[in-house]
Amino acid sequence: MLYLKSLMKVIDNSGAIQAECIKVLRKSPFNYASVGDEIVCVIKKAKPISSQITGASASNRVKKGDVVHAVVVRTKQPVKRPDGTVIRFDDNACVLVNKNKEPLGTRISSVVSRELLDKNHSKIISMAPKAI
Amino acid sequence: MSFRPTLSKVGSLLTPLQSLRSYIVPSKAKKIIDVYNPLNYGRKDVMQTYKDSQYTKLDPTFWRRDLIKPSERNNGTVLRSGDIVRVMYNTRTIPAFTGQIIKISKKGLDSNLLLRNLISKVGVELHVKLFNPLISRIDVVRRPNQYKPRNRQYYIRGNRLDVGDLDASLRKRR
Repeated sequence: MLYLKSLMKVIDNSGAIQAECIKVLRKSPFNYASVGDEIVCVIKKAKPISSQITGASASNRVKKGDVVHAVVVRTKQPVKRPDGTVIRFDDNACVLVNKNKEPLGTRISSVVSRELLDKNHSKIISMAPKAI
Repeated sequence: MSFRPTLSKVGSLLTPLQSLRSYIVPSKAKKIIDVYNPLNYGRKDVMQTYKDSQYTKLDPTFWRRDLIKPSERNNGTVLRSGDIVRVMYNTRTIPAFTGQIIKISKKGLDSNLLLRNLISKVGVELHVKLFNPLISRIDVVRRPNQYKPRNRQYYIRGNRLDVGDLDASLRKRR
């Protein structure tokens, strides 16, 4: 249940730590983002940029104050599944993506929800250590 | 032949406007209403009969009911909050889930368990419907030496009583 001003963790290696939602994409104005929904967010906290990192991960690195797109991968709000099971995580988290819905980072640090598979984010699922 | 409807005692007392409204348009079609034999449930409640049919359909071998209800088959050992269970599914698309029971709600066919686990340092909670036909097995992996008080152990979330990484601790045990 993420909307304007919601803070969430960023769990990829793009350099961001915390992001704030500023827009839920392709939803009605009074709606909220759940797992698998795309949002626009501002980076509130980021790791300092070091010169050691090179290659593709360096070009995809984000700074504090950047406006980027992201996909919600975990929510504290319980999500109901078609077979009646309900899943709930302890925190809200997202993964940064570009405008073609491809993830910016190359690695995802923690568990994601399997609802992403239904919303065509299979690349995020394959990068994650575990999908529940 | 007039088609004036026969008025009841109450109807005859009403004003002429009312009788106009109840004028019936003549038609030759005969209306036949299907009448069925009464459902032979005996003395049983209709809802109970439906639930029994669902029990025989979803749980013919009684293993789901034995998880929450003491009987001769399970020698009175039922699931309790604090047990660590693994839920296995029929389909390959749904992975198995291991977790500690925080809550058991015994609501007949709606019975469910709330499982909690810590996976990659993130708490994950899953409500599992006991009579879900996709579930093939529910195994008790470990029982605690000493049970915590209460059936609903929401108080363990996010403090020193919280569950650890159960998958790792079970692997270490082996």
